[in-house]
Amino acid sequence: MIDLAKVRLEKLSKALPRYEGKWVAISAKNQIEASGDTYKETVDQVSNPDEVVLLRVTPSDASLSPAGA
Amino acid sequence: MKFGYQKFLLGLQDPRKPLVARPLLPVYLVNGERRTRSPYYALLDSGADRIIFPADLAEELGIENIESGLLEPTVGVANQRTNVYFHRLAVQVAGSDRALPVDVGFSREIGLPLLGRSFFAHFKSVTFSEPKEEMELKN
Repeated sequence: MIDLAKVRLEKLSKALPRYEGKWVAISAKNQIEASGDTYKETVDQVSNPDEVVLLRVTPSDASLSPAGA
Repeated sequence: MKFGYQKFLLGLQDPRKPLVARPLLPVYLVNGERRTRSPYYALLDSGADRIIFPADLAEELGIENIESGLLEPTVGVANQRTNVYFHRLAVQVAGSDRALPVDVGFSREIGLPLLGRSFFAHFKSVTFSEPKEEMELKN
């Protein structure tokens, strides 16, 4: 089971914009282990899904205001 | 349960800008005996009424046709309307053994998974601490 307390996405600040719109699988070492257009496509590339957490990457050039859903 | 916010770069053009902190909660989505293989981050959104996830998460749980769910359109802050199809599923916070029964809406037009106040209703309180950049969910 991944130690989520070790996942600090700020350490991936420079890398994440390249994955805008995609899912990325991130390890406790704060490394991107896989990426894909869908959750399934991304997890399928990971050898141990228990050891990653997934993130859908949002645009880095705009703030978020999703309220209203 | 306490979780720290996650920080992101906002504005590629100016690296001197501070990172923006967001309340992202690691969760699993559950459909009967099936559960997403890995946790994923969803935004805790106190301004949202519902739980709405990208449609491809339904695929992971064997829901091939999201339109088989109950249609309830949603409208965002810019008045953009989106069709959302709700299914009775469960959400499990990573690190918790409780799968919370909830209606989850799926949309092909949403990018970031959202946990609105229909999720908050399962907790005694949901607290956002901006100075500490952390959120706390109390049962």
